[in-house]
Amino acid sequence: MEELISLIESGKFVKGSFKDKEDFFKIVSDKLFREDYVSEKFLEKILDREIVYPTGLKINNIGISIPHCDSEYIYKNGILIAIFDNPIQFNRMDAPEELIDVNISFVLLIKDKETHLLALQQLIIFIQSQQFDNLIKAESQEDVLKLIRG
Amino acid sequence: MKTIIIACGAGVATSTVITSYVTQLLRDNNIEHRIIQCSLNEVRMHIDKGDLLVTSMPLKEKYDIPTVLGISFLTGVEVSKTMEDIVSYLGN
Repeated sequence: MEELISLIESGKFVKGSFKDKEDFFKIVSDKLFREDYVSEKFLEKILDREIVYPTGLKINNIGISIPHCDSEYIYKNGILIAIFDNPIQFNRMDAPEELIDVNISFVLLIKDKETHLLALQQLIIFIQSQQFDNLIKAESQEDVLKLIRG
Repeated sequence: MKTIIIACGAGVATSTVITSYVTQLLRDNNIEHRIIQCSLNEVRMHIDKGDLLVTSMPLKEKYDIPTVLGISFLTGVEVSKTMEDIVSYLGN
């Protein structure tokens, strides 16, 4: 799980309450822009992309989302993990007209595809594992990493 | 040599995961292959070269080649069925 751990460490951890996914994207984009992870177009692109190609997925009965956009708008590789105090609705990737309640969002900051390849495979393995059920209780990035390291 | 087009929204994240599972599946089944990984709106550019299309989400467009939904590789739901479909479409 090395590559996944590395990308999480290079990313951010966010826990809180958001009105809806637009509110979440606005707040997170602002944070990422201020810390030089993304360009100022990131918010627009990630919102647009979510409308056309939604990223909500239901895995083991937990709603997650994996928002991301073109590498063109990303300056630094990483994964921002967001745990929502109250579920936020996202459209489903495999059934775009359907909405699901999402508790955890992994905002993928993909500057280089190659860097994310193994990490993404590891993320999917982790999401499908039993440890994933505990992720919702994480209070910090360290908690997340402890769960992944197992 | 079979050509598989693997597509997702941005052609970056989901298709990357699907590609890694499909590649493994085809190796395990000794099916010689090459993969074209792209975004969903690039599919029509490559469609003539493909024997099979695997996508992250349902498509509105209908193409002449068989299409399989590859999302099960991410969700873990009905993976065996997806793998069987892929192998059977490419088998002949």
